[in-house]
Amino acid sequence: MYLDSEVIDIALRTIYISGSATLLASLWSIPISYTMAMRKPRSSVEAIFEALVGLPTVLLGLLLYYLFNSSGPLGFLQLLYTPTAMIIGEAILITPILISVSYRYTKTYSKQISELAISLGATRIQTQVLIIRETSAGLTASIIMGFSRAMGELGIALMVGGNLKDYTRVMTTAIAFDVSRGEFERGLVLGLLLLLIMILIAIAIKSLGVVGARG
Amino acid sequence: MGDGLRIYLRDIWFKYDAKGEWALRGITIYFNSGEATIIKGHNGSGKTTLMKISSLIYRPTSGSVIINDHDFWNLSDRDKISFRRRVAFVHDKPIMLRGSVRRNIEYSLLIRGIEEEEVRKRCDEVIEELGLKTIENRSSNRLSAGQAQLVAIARALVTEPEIIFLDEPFAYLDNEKRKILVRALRGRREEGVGIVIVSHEPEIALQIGIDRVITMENGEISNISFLR
Repeated sequence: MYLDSEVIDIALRTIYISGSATLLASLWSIPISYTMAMRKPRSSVEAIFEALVGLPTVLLGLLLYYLFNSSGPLGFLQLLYTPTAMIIGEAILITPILISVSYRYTKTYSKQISELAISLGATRIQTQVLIIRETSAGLTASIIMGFSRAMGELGIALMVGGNLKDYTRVMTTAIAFDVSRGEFERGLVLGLLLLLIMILIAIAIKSLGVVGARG
Repeated sequence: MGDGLRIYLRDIWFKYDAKGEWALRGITIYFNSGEATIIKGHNGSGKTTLMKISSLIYRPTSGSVIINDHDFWNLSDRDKISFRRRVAFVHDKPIMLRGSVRRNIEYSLLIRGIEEEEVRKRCDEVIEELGLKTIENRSSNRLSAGQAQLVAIARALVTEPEIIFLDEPFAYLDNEKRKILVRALRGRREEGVGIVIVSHEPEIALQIGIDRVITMENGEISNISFLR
């Protein structure tokens, strides 16, 4: 059987690293998308974030490797080949996804929700709270997409994580490693497991009631 | 009703963006509590914009909105909210909040800090009046357009506004629901509430007991007829 304790460890580590990266990225992405929705930035700003959604992970991995390696500007932090470096890298990677998806949704609904709140006599704070509450479906969608992207990326995990056994090995790096040594079946099982975890977590987040479709 | 409410728009000009065309051109008009008005006109004539400025949502590009002798847009935030809570506006396309029908109706009272028991009592009354009892616990995203329209109207009526602005309130309603709404609005009209309706079907709105018909064209008022 391929589902041994090592695979389970890898799966849990993947969820931990991708989940932490998603939480970290949400900390700055959600306020940024709300600010953008309220201030209506130039379309070029929107275009930049949309273009960055397709940022090649190897390019970002390379930049982070340059920053974190022992002779790099942030080498003194000794983060290279640690889960922390992977979390930082993935958080940066998924930031454009979180911002552009949640911004698009917030922009669409915030105007009408804000108008409704004003017409009902809401204060400024009540209006903001209502906008956040009513657009949470879009936020969750962006979080799920960001999490999935973080789980499925390989370039950063490999370049700043190093695929160290029992330390930084995650599903994608493990699959690449298995394929490189000819263990295709194990790689395939890991791939299917990765897909299953992504789907289950997306369903779990949706059904937690953090979100709901807007009526 | 207190001393009643008078919203006086003086030489209102409005455009949606700086480079755009004027949506309203020098409108001067008043709306009082206790009066019922229909606004009619072709699409794009400025009816909805006029309603949103009158109901204190949009700030005019130029001109003044005088409410009971106060220049509304120069008031403090607290005073603005206090006046806004005396009027209500219902959008032509109903905007539903997440949650149940009851939650939608309660919301406008809860933000006013009204006690729970009073909220329940007032919601029960308006739910009964508009025939929403059977759907009060239904999720707002499972409503037909007509039901959503009535919920949006209930959400406005429950606040007991002194003037209510309704943009195309009959658009999605079948005959039975139209009768219910006409009866509710006629009742408010008799109690001294001001009613302002944008409608492409003035014959239905006339059943409420209309005092004035305002006709708009290209962002201007082209005619005002007094029926009483």
